[in-house]
Amino acid sequence: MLRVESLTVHHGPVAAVVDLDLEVREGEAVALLGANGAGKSSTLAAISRLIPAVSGAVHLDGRPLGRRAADQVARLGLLHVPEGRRVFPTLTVHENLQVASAARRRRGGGPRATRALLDEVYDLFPMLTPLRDRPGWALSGGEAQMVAIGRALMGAPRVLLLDEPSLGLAPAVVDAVYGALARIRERVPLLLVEQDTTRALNLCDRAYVLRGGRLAMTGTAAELRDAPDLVAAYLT
Amino acid sequence: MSGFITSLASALTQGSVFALIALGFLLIYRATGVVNFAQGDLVTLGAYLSYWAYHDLELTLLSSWLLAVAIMFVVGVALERFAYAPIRTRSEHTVVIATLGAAMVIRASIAIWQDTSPKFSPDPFNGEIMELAGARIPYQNLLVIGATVVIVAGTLLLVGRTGFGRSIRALAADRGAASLVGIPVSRVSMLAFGLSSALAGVAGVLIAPTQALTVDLGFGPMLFAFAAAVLVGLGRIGAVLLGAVAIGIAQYVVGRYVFPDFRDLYPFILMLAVLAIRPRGLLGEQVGRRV
Repeated sequence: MLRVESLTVHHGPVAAVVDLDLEVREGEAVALLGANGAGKSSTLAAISRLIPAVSGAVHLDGRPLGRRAADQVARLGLLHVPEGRRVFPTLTVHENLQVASAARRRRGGGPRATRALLDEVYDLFPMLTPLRDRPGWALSGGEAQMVAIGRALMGAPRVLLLDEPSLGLAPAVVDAVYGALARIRERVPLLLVEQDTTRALNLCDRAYVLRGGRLAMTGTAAELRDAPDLVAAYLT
Repeated sequence: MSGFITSLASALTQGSVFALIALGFLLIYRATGVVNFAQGDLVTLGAYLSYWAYHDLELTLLSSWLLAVAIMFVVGVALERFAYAPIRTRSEHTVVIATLGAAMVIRASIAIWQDTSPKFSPDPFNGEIMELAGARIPYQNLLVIGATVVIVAGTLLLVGRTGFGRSIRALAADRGAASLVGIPVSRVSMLAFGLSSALAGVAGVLIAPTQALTVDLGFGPMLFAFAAAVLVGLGRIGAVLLGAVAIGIAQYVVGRYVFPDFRDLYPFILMLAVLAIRPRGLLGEQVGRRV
């Protein structure tokens, strides 16, 4: 589904990610764990072309993304819910969702498909229904996270990249977000960056652990749950 | 009384021209975060293109206007490709300086192409003038006002109600996030430049008949349009219309009765006074962090 080969990303002179290989297969949810600054967000941002990679290749459905720009990658169905949510503050909740249909333009972008997806998103996040006409800047963190995820779903993702969906949210809100992710993963393969190891391993099938931009360990979620001390050692 | 009506009509006419130019500023500013100081010379170019289409291609007046506006759209797209896209990631100051550079290139090109002697363009009313309570108002001025109202309303609908408008607003808010949801960011910014330049073209063809056509035709109006846009805070489209009319009134109504020699100063005094009291502009959202 998604294959990343020897990805290297620099922030100025600093190497954020070094020679990283990873894969997300059909039907799979994969966690990308690591301490602050381990290179998790940089990995996602380089995959979606939000930031440039120094070297490496990304394949979607076996086809290399080549030199495509972020918007072209999104239109192929590789959608990224970025760090900090980045909901459009001057657009309403509904407009935030509508505008994200752009990613489906060549993959069933008609108004009927848009209406069906809008219904799906409001069904997944019923909290958003009464907030349809509220501008992005007036949303709480949890509401903004739901809009950000809903926005990516409007693009009918083939693979979904999620960057710390629980960051800064109250536990009850995190439950709601993870409840939705559990439903989404039934249909869409996920690559999830998360600080909250327990939540991530409960949702996902497999995980990669990064340390200092390099792959430190990998295994199934069950294996990593059984070795909490080892994982914890890499997360500090 | 007739003097007052005459000056009010001038204020509304000039205010309309300022509004069209300021609207062009706003479209590009909202989509890219940059004030395009080539806007005034684009107005001039639009006027010269219609002059050329009318005199050299011998088109009818209306076709010459339409052709000029169409060419101006293409000029705007080219401007985005060659003057803006290559330096987009640099600081906003760099980009603003580049727009000034583009302005000079456009002006010099016009001077080489059409020389610098003043030209005169006809209006569709053969220069006829309406009498209103003793005031004499050229029909062309009424056309300027009417066309502006229609164009501002059309732009409001375009930006507020269509998918393209949502894309422009998304791009303005967060270019990176816009690309992550698949909005074709380079195409949208090209279209924003094209539309903005076409608006400059409309302003150009409309004011060409009201005065002698020279290579600095659009530059002065652009400065007043800039004052209008800053006055209301480079924010909402409807607000720009109000700002432009306020600037027109400061210049032509106040300027008629109070020290007429200084009338061109009044718009800027008004702008500075507003900025001193309210830095984000009269009706502005938070723009302070961007300029």
